[in-house]
Parts: sequence; C-alpha cells; structure tokens
Amino acid sequence: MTQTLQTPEEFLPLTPAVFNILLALADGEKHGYGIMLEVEANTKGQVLMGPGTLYGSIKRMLQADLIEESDERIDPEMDDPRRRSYYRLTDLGRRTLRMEAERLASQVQIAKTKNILATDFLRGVP
Amino acid sequence: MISQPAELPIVKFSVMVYQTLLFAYPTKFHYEYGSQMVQVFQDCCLRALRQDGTNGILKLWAITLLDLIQSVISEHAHKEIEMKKEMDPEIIRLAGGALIWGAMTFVIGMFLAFLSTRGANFWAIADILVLFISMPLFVVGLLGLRNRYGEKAGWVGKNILLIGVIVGPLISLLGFFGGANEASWSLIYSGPAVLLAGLTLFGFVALYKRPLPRWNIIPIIAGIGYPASSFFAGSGIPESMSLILIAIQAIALAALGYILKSDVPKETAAPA
Repeated sequence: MTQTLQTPEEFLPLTPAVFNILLALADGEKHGYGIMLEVEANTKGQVLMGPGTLYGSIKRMLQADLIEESDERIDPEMDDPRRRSYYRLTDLGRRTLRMEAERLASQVQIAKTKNILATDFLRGVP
Repeated sequence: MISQPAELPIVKFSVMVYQTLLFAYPTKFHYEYGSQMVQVFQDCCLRALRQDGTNGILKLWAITLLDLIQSVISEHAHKEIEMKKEMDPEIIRLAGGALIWGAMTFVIGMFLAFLSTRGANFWAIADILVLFISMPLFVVGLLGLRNRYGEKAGWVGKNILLIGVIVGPLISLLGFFGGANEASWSLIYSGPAVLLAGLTLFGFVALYKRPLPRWNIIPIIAGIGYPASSFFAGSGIPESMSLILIAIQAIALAALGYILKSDVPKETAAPA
C-alpha cells in the first residue's frame, strides 16, 4: 500500500489559484466550470480564472495529491449532454486548506492588532 | 428552427479559435486537459453572450488571451522542470564521461591510424579504438546530450543529433558486410564522420538556441574536425593538418562531456 509522505506545511503558503480551488471544493465535488463559477462568486469577481490557469492548477494539485478526480458524468443542472470530470478534495487537500485558512486568519489578526482594517479606521484610529 | 446557443456562429468561431490556440500548450497537457478546457471556454462564451452580448465575448477573449499567455509559459516551464526531474543525474554524468573517454580513445585511435599510414602497423588497435570503443561511447554521450539539451535545442536540433546517432553506426555496420576492400573500409570509417556531422549540425542549432549553460560554440568544434577532414581527404589537405583538426575536435568533445557531467539536473521542488 502506498502512503503519502507529504504534509500540509510543505504546500504553504498556497497560491491564490490553489487556495481558491481548494475552497471551492470544500463543500463537495465540482467540475471545472463549477469551480470557476464558485471562485468568481467567492471572490466577488476579483479572481477571474481562465481555463489555462484552472487546469494548470488542477493538474499540479492532482500530482500533489491535494485533489482527486471522482468520476465523469453529465451535469444535470447544465444544458449540455457532454460528460464532465468532477474533482474533490483529498484528506491532504482538506488539511492543507485548513492550515492555509488558519495562517491567513492569523495574518488578519495581526492586521487587526495594528488597526489596519477599515473597521478600525471607522473607530477613529489613525 | 431555433439554433442551440452553442451553435451560434460567434460561439462556434470563438471555440474553434480557442481550440487552435490550445496547441501552444505542451502536447501532454493539451492531450490531458484540452477537451475539458474547450468545454469550460464554451460555457464561459455562452454565459458572456447571455450577460453582455458581443461585448461580453470580447471581454472574455481579453481575459482568456491573458490567461492563455500566462498559462502557456507556466506549463512549458513546468514541463521543463518535470523533464529535469525525470532525468536520472547518474545517466547524464555517465553520458558526459562517455564523451570524455570517447574523445580520448578516438584521438589515440586516429593518431595510430596516422602512424600506420607512415609505415607502422597499428591498424588493428586503431580500428578497435575508433570503431569499437569510441563510436559506442559517442553514441551514449550524444544520446545523453540529446536527453539533457534536446528540448531546449528544439525539434530540429534534437532530431539531427538522433539521425547522426542512428545513421552513423548503421553506415559502419554496412561497411563490415562489404568485405575487406577499400570501399568497405571507407564506408566503415564514414560512420563516425556521419555521427559527428550530426553533432556539428546540432552545434549550428545550438548557436542559435543556446541550450548549453555555457560555451555553445563547443558542439560545432566537437563535431566538425573528422567529418571535414574525411570530406576533404582527397583534396590535398596534409594528413598532419587533419590530425590537428581531430585533436582540436577531441579537446572540444572532452569539454562537451565536462559540460554535460557538471550540468546534471538538480532535484527541484514543485509546489502545487
């Protein structure tokens, strides 16, 4: 039985593309276009990922065992009879996402202590 | 009859152009993800058309072209990293060593052949050194060179080297079947010339593509001496001059081997 020796720390910090793809897959498997739509919605259109970046990231995430291909099937919500490849998080991917989210949260905490966030300005802090 | 959105000319045309542009990606990536990328791009086209009409398609193309340029560069860079990782450093070192030893045995063999034309009888040793030791070593060395720098040298450079490596020994082999006559020996000794001519031509490509980390002129010098002296053998060039050319060539071959030995691929971490 093969066992992965990689730990989440090896991947941190994640690139914005990888973080957003992992985040998009956090609540269930999706196909490429579904991931793209979710990333766009999650970032309020700030991260626009083209097919090249999307599949380049997917390829490397598959190689790194952060995600896996589940199966190929037709998306019942789309008016398209073609089958699509679905992707889902692996255990390593989920742990990596959690660690990155915690890392980002601690960065935000630091920003808060330094009164950097907009809410801090509203409180009258220069 | 109402046409399906995916069959609208602007969508069909966009998808067709995008499909063509996908050939810019490395072949393996194109093969593995090309159809999924086209599918996603078509979905994006339909959404853009639905939301903003033709302007939406134009905006989508602007984003897509930028994405395409960035990701094509990135995928080619990753491909190179992966190739380097796949290459066993020991094999590359071995190939470099083969070129160095091949150069030494070749120049000694040619010197003995030169002495043999002056009355000494070293033909047998010369034949063994040139044909049975240095030529196989050159084949190993040049295949290593192709493996290490072929991608950077491009299709032409990579395949010229391969043609030389295949055709050179084949010509020598054909000569062996011709019997013990002068024509057969000419054919036998043409093998190394063809092999090294392949290296010379690779060298011309290398001058333009610069695949080696340094001294990109070396492959030409390492390849040209013996083929040139064989080609001009009957045109009155003194044999001593040929020998000097071959000695320079051997030094360059050893230098090429040294470059190959010292430029083994390093383990590169590939972050996701």
